[in-house]
Amino acid sequence: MTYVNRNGIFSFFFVPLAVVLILFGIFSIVWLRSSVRTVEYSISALDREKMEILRERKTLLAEKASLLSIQSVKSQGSGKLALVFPDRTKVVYVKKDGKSTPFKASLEGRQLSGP
Amino acid sequence: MRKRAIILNTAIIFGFVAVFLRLVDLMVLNHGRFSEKAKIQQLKQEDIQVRRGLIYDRRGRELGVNLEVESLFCDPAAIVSPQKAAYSVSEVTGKNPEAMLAKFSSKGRFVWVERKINHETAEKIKKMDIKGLGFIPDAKRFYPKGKLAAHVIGAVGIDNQALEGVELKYNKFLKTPGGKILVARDAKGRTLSTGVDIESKGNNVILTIDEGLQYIAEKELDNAMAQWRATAATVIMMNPLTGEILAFANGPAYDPNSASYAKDFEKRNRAITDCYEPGSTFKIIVGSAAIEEGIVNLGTKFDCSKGAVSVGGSVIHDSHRNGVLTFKEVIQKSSNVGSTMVGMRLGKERVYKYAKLFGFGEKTGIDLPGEVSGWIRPPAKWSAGSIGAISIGQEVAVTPLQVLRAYSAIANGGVLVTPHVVSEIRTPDGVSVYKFMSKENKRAVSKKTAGIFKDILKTVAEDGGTGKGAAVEGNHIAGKTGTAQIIDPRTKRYSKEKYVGSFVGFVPADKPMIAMIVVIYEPKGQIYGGAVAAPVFKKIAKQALSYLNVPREDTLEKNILVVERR
Repeated sequence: MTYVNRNGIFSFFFVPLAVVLILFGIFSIVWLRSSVRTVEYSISALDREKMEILRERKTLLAEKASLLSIQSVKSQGSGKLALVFPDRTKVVYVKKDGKSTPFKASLEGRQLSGP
Repeated sequence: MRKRAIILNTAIIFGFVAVFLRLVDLMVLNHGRFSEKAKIQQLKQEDIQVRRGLIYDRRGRELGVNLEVESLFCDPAAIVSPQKAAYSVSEVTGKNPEAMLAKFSSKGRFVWVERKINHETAEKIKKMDIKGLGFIPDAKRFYPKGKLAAHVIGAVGIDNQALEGVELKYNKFLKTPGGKILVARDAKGRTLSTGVDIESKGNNVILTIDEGLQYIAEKELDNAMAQWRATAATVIMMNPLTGEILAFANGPAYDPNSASYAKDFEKRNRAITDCYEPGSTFKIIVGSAAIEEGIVNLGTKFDCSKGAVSVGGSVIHDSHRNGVLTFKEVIQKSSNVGSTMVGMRLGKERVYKYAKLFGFGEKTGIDLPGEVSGWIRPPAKWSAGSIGAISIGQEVAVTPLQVLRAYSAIANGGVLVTPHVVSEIRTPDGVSVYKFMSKENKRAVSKKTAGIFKDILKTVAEDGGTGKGAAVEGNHIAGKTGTAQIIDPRTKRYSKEKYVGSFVGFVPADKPMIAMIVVIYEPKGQIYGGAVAAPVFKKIAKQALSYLNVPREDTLEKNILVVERR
């Protein structure tokens, strides 16, 4: 008659396995929490970077608005580029709702093609 | 051996029991207290950064934006060497080191050192690593166009609190309540992401003002002020059909970026806060009332040959003798005598009635702070001579905007519009939260009367009219000159040196795109509206019509190239 010592098998396999599992579980939780914290730090750094870029964007927007002001453009145009504001007699008015072809294209009043 | 094992076991058991009891103490009995303590250490309350909404012109060009800056504060008790710190910081900021030292040596645990420092300067100070100094993120309102439309946009104070203009009137839309958020931080004080946007933005305001037209108006206003050495001047440009203010300029003006340094007279929004006697521009009242009531027709004659007329004991003069004038000529030549005669025919009740119908003596309702109503006394309080004085624009106080609105009524067929400077307000995401809705517009005169009076006003800028200097090549204009004396506060009588010259009108006369008033206060060398204000009207109108691509009306007769397309 052979007797198997069940308590011995339990101690030999399951106790160490349980210890390993518990340790693994503990380390997993610690690792997970640590990873989450690392991600939070990364997001925080990205937030700071985003704020920095937004700050720069606002500065650039203000600078652009300043540079594109009509006063600034005019002083640049009339100064360096020697441009002049067009005289109304030299402006060609294009009517969007008119005929497709020019009906008057001469300073002598010649009618090139009819309306 | 066994005895020692028992002692060891007992010690271990006691140890575990002690740990267990402590855990019960921490986690059950005093959980609340320790939890609060931990929160205080780990969580930090931070202000949500409040940013005002942006201000745009009608074409979406930025007129008011925000800059991200930082404000420097100190805890004087924590500064080791105030003198050294004051010297170092003032070297970077360029401020007086003694004033800086006074702040560093003051009592209290929180003292503002310098508000709204730009990022580069802040970084330099941070690198100095001076203990006791700290920074708070802040926003600075910035108006990229400087003085442009300053009296419309307004300004904010050091804490971004609204002070003037649209900034004040629409403050509830532009500002945002803000609040606080909790931010987690570690033992080193580094913050962890909350995932929440810590910036709260106000709504964006879109004005009816056009930057281009505003620039033209301000440029010509400055030129006119310099030319006539005037104490002040005003130009308002409005769409006479809708009441949208296209340009709104007062001189002298100020730069809202440094509003705290501006003088009071520069901040005054004369177009709506200052009253003046309108002079001949007020003849619109007796003129249109007489037509509406059928008292006169265009050919009705008035004998103005004496050059003066007596009313209730006072004598009203023309600047020169005109002879016999038709009703049309009375307006065209701006005859005081003729206008007084028309006013006398109307009677004081009807003159008063039409003055009120044209909106005088009450606010126009423009959406800017500080508007005054002006005044016109009820007929019961008029003196015997008042009918003559009021007919020619004396004994009444009006604002330039009221006069412009009255002439806009003539331009649009007789309806009083509501002038406004804000067309729409949108959230930062672009959702519209406010749109200007015109209230029921009051009719001042019939369409027919407005048409007839418009034709008379057209003659003012033609040969023989007082406003010939306002005529714009290529387009018909309709308008009226005005010259009024200013009451000298010392003598309480009309000054013989101080005048207000004005011109108000609209162009193109038959299909009005812009209505405009030019008022020049106390010009030197010339006094008449036709001489000082009409040319300014012309210069502005000419450029404005080009800017708006309004075609000339004389293309056929002048053989000007016109191209049409679908």
